[in-house]
Amino acid sequence: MSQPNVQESTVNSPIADLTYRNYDGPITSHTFRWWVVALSVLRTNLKKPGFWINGGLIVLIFLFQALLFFFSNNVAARISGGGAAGDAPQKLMSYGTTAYQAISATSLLVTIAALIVGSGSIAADNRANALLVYLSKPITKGDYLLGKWMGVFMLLAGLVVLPTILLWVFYATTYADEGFFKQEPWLWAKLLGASLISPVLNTSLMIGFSACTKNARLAGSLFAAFTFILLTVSNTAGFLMFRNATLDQDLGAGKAVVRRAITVQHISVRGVADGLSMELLDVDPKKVMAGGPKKLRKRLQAPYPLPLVGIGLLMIILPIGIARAKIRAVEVVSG
Amino acid sequence: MSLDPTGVASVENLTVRYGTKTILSDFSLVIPDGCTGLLGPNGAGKTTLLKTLLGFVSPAGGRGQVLGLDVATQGMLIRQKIGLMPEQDCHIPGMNAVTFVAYAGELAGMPASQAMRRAHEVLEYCGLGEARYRNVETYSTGMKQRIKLAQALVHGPKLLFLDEPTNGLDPEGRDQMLELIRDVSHGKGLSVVVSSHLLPDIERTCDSVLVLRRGELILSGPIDALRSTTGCTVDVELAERSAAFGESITALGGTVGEIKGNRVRVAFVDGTKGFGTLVFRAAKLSGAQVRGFAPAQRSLEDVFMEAIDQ
Repeated sequence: MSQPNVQESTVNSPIADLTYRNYDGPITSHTFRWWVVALSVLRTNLKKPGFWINGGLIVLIFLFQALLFFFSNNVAARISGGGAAGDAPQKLMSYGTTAYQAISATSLLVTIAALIVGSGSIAADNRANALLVYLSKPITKGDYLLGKWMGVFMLLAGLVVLPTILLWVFYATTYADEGFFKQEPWLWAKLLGASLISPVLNTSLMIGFSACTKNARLAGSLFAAFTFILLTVSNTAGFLMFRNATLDQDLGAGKAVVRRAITVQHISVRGVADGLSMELLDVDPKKVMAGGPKKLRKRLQAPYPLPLVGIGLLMIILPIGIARAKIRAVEVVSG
Repeated sequence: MSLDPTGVASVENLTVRYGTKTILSDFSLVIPDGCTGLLGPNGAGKTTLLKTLLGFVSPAGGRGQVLGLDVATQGMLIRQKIGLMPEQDCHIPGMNAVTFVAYAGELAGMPASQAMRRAHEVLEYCGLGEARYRNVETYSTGMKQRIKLAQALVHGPKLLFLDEPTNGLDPEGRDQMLELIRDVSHGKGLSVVVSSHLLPDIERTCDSVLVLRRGELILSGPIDALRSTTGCTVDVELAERSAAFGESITALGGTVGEIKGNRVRVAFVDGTKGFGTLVFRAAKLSGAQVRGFAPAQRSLEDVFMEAIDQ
C-alpha cells in the first residue's frame, strides 16, 4: 500500500495558515472599554526613562523629608527630655507639615512628568490620524478621552501617591507608640487627597493642550508656557498685593486684605495644589512659607480655599471640554 | 415608508451638510450583499456617505440603516459589526504591527488573548506575517495599506468599508490588494463596500456598483447587467482587419461601432432576426474571415462615462 508523500506536501504548503476565518469568540462589555485605552497609555509611557527618573527624584524628596522629620523629632525629644512611652514629645514639625513640604516640593517634577507622558497622548494620535482607528471601533469619544485622561493621571498619581503611602507607613511604624493613630486617625485620607490634587490638575491641562495640536512638542511647550507664565504672574501680582496689604494693615486694615493677596498669589497650577493641600493637611503657613523679612512672615495666612477650589475646577473642566470638542473622526469644513 | 431591509445598508432621503455646504442631498440607495463598488469622481460624496453610515457625521435629514441597525441611534452597535479601512494613512504611534492590530481588536471588545491570536491570523492573511514585529511607522505605503485592512478585519466584521484601498500602491501592490479584497468578499460571509474613483479596481473586485455624482446617486445595479448592451449588438472577431466587412455590414442594414484591432462591434436594428446569418453574409461579401462573435459588453468605463455625461 502506498503512503501519501507527507514530506512533499509539507514543503509545498506555507508554514502559516493563510485562510481568512470569521471571529465568533467572546466580546467584552462596553462599560470598561476606556480601560483598553488607559492601559495602552500606561504601557507606552512606562518604557520612557524620563518618567522613571522623575519617579526616582520624587522618592528622594520624600526620603529627605522623612529623614528630616525623624532627626528633628529626635532632637526635639532630647531637648525636651521626653520620649518615654505614652509621653509624646513636642515635635518641631507636624506629620502633616512634613508631608505637605514633600508633596509641594514634587510639584515641578509632576509638571515635568506630565510633559513627558501627556504631551503626545492625543497630539500624536492627531498626527497619525489614529482617531479614525479609535472612533471606527465601538468606543465613544468619551471612552477615548476618559482612557487617555486616566492613563496619564494614573502615571502622575503613581509618582506622588506611592511615596506618600510610604511616608504614612513610616509614620505608622515609627510613631505608633507615640500615639500617631490617636493624634492623626484620618491622616491617610488627607495625604491621599493632597497628593492627588497636582496630578489631577496637570493631567487635565496637559490633555487639553495635547488635544489642540498635532505636535507633541508644541503641546508640551504650550502647557509649560501656560504653567510657568501663570505661576510668575500670580506670584508677582500676589507679592505686590501682599506688600501693599501689609502697609494697609499697619494703617488699620483687617487680616482679610492680606489673606486676599495670598490667595491671588496661589492662582496657578502649583498655587492651587499647594493652597488646597495646606488646607487639607492643616498646615500653618508661617512654618512653611520661606523668604521675606520676619516681620512680613509673621502676617502670613493660608489662602481662601473656596476660590482655589473654583479655579482648580476650572483648570479641570475647561481643558477637558476643549479636548472633547476637538476629538472627532472627521474634519468639519465650515462655510 | 420603511427602509429597504434587503441590503446590508440603505439610506433614504439622506441630506448631509458640512457647515453651509451640502454634500449629500435627498439621497437614497440600497447597498446589496456581496462586494459593492462606490464609484464617483472626487467630491462626489463617497467618503461622506461612508462616514454617515459609520455614525461619524450626523445627517441634516433622512435616515439610514446598516445591518438592520439605525444609523442615528445605534452607531456603537453598527461599529461593532463593521470594519473601516480609511483612505488616509492611520496608525497608533509607537506600536509594532501585531500590537497595533491586537489593540484594534481589544478596542472592538475582544479579550486581550483572543485579540493577540487573531492579530497574528489576520496579519498572515494580509501578507504581513514576516513584518509583524516591525514598527508601523517604518512600513512602506503598500504595507500601511495592508495593515489598515488587517485592523479593519481583526474583530470579524460582517461588513467592511474600504475607502480608496489602492491609493498610492505600485502595480504589484495594487494587484495583491485587489486579490485580497476579491478573496475576502467572496465566500467568507462578509460584505464589502469599496469606495474608489478607479474603475478597473471596482471592475476587478465588485459584483455591483453605485455611481455617485455631486451628492446624487445616478446609477446602480449589478456590474454584469450594467455592462450588457441593449438590442442586437455583437462583437465580431475577424482573422484580420477588414474595411470591406464594415461596408458590407452597413449595406445589410447594420451599424459598425467601435473597432479594436481585428474586433468589430456590430449593431443591428432591434428585432432583427438571424443577425448571425447577416454577419456571415457580410463576411462572404467582403471576403473577410470570421473567427467568432459574441454578444457585446460595454466596459465599466463606458457605463460610468455615460452616466456621468447624462
